[in-house]
Amino acid sequence: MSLLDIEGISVSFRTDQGRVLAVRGLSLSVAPNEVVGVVGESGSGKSVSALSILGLLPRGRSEISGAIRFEGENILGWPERRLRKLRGGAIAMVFQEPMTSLNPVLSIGWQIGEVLRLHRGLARHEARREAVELLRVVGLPDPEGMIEAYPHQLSGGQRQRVMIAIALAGRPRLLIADEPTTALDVTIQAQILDLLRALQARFGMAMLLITHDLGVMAEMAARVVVMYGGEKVEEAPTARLFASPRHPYTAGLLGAIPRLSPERRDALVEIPGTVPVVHAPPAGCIFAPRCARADERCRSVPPSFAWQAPGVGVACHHPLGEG
Amino acid sequence: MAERAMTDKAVRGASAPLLEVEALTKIFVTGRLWGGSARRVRAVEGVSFTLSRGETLAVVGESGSGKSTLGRMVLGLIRPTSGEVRLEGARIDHLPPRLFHPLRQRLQIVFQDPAGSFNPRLRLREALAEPLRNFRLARGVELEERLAELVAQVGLSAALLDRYPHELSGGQRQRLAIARALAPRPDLIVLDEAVSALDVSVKAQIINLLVALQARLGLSYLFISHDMAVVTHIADRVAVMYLGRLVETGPTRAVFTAPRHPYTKSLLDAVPVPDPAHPRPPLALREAGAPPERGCRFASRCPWVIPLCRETEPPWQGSAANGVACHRPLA
Repeated sequence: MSLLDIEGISVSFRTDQGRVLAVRGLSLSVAPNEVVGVVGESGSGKSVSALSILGLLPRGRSEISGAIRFEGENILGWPERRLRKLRGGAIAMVFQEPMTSLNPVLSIGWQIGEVLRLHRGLARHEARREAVELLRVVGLPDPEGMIEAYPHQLSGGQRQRVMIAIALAGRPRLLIADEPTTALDVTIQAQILDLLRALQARFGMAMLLITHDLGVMAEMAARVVVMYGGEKVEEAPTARLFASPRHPYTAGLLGAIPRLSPERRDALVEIPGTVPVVHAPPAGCIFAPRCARADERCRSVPPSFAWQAPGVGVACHHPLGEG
Repeated sequence: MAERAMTDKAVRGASAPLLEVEALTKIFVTGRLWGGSARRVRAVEGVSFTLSRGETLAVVGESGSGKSTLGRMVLGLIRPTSGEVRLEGARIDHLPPRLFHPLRQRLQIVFQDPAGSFNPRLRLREALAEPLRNFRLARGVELEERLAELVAQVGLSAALLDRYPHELSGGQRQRLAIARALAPRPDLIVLDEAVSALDVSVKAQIINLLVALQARLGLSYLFISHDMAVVTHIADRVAVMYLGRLVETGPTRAVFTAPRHPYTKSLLDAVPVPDPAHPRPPLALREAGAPPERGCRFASRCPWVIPLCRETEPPWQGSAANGVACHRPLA
């Protein structure tokens, strides 16, 4: 049975430029202990999807429909009071910018301790001992001294390790990581990814990893969901997705990544045009205006997502690798 | 216009490299404001390199490496504490603003954030015409023709000139930032993380555009970046900086296939590989702490550190165009 089941959610926002359809009919599931990645460019709807799981979308300005089942229960529409018990407990989240996620006027120890008291009911001295242990687990030097420190005294990489310690404090069964290393230097990113992978295996938690970086995805995820313009366009096991992408957008993205090959100046594959902002359901395929394979049908009939093999699906009238 | 620029370039000293930077140093002094003791931040220290016509030198490093400060010193936006910047053999680092102004025509910059580098209240036609008027390069019909030529060069339609910056996508804005840099027909463009904020599909477009423009116009690029993979697609040579120091430089292919400095190797090993069949091995690098007061600045993170590294700053070995600063080079 899956741990998380997102069933056909759609999210829209009211903005000054009119209604924006950020996510349309997204379904995905995460099994216990599994790492699932959601990859997409800006405006793909990947972060909105992640935020919607924990009810973190701005109330009053956003509308959401569909179902989000966690351990079988539909948590979409749960009151704030109930969601708060879930957040930081069974479902934890790590964001891109650790500086804005941490409270600047509270010590590191206090911020970890808060989770331990609220979600695990630990007493003050137990919480302190456990906080030190968690800081050790995430590889921070001098954990005893670190719990007295404040966020501004730490480097970006250290802050992200603290965020991970806070996430672990509630013993989550699902960790949602939204661009967890995007703001970090590349050597620090590598160390944080190594840490996340080790912790995921050690604690057996499932992870939903949101990223724009296909390199990070290849390293971390067992299964990948590709989003474009608010829709899931492809889903497949990671090795299969990278070896034989079915959707022209996925193939384009893979060709567009600058790679560390010393063979320089082989021109990168371009996807012409730019990522769309969707105000109304498109007449045809959302990717058709940028797609070299698009024909009349693509411009008039939206392709629906269809499974082609177990765990392998695509939303395209003319997927690659066929005739 | 084009022919005149060509002959100008032929006449100007062909012997000296376009740009020479020698022992360039910038020390920022902070903390004196509140009466405490002043703290000296060695943002850039003793950096030397040359850049020829039509060549791309990538300056790579992470945050705090000093790469952006270096770029700004080349452009005369920050005054160096010591050292020299020479353009075709003539020193330009201590010129008063009045004498530096004509050089700005030849030295242009494109920043990371195209949204922040345009005046939101100016139509793009005005933003693009500004450098042409400032340097009295074109007016009237000629100005209009030049604007049309510039937008065409960066692959945009002239209709965009009547729009405001916020009406454009990030990729379109960056194309216009490049067009604006091209307007005064510069010799050198400093590209400061110019593709870093762009989405993957748009990034590829801009990289290809920069490479094509260079081939057509004979531009030199100083390409400042933290992204090693992007660098392989654009740079002839690479200079690696760590905490203000140049640690390694050489031809891109040589440096990337056989890095000599442990930091260069770490940077390359850290790049996530977009291929699940070839996973990246865990990084053999230690946690970044405070940089040491003496010796090699990388010693506190280096997996191959020996006692000498903590005592003595490693001297530069090799030439200005191809060398390394390490007591125990890897290759």
